[in-house]
Amino acid sequence: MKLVALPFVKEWIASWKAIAQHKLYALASMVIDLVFFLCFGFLTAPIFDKLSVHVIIIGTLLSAQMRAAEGRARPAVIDALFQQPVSHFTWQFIGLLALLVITVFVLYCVLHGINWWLATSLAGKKTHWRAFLLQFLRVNALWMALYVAWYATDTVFDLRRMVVEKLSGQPAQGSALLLSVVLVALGYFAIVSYPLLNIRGAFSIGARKIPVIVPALVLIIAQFLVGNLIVGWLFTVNATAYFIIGSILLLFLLAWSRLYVARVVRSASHGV
Amino acid sequence: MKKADFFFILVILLVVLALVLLVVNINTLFPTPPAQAFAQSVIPQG
Repeated sequence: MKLVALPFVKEWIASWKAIAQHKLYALASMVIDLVFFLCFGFLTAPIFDKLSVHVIIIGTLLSAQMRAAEGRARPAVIDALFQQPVSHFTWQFIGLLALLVITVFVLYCVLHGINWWLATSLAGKKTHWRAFLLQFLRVNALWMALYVAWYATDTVFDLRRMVVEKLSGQPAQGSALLLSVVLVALGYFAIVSYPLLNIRGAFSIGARKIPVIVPALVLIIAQFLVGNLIVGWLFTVNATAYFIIGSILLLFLLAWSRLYVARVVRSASHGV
Repeated sequence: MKKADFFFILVILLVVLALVLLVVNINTLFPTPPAQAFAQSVIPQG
């Protein structure tokens, strides 16, 4: 079988041709991504700072409680989280998480929604932008709920590890590998769902068309790595040039990747 | 531009504005003591 006949290679060539013909798409997509990164940084940095402060405070209070209970039965971490004096900070922590989730969700759905609409339109799927954004919002509501569940689990494991380390004075084992695998799977099906705007379709096509979609994603990652290598040496020459060219390259590759994914998933869904 | 499109954009802008206001006032909404000092006061470092 010829390499060019492989769907992900065929779409790779087609997507580069398409982006070369539609320079305005690339420019618009890059500007929207830049706005997303700026807004994301400015809006989430204060929330992340506050969350870190809360993790330190809650961890300190929990370990103090555990030490105080020495000799008696220690309360479970979850129970201790909702008892005085920790509960006040636990509820604040939950409030901050909610604010973070809503902020990321709104920014992501609006700005990435527009970008995915541009990419899928260029890939051949014509939808009105408002209908697309509303559907994008619905699809992302599920992914965000699953991500929140993942983040909450990760935080509880982190807190538990922190308490165990403080009590035993030795590094404790986490469950980072399992949680990472779950996160990668979530990310994979989320990416597949964006051009389709259909969760059931994403699971069905994402699972059945792994030989088409996964190589395409590997190709995207490889291109980012190659781009990083190309730009990497610039840092030793000129840091400003490295930052400017690196940012432009990153934004351009993001715009291209969305178009490529939209084309690959669209072509994969035709065969199902 | 359709009326529905206009209101859709308006709603998005209002939601973003509300989020900006919440984040700007985060210290008032979620007051905390300084983390390091707090940790040292609860568990004195030996």
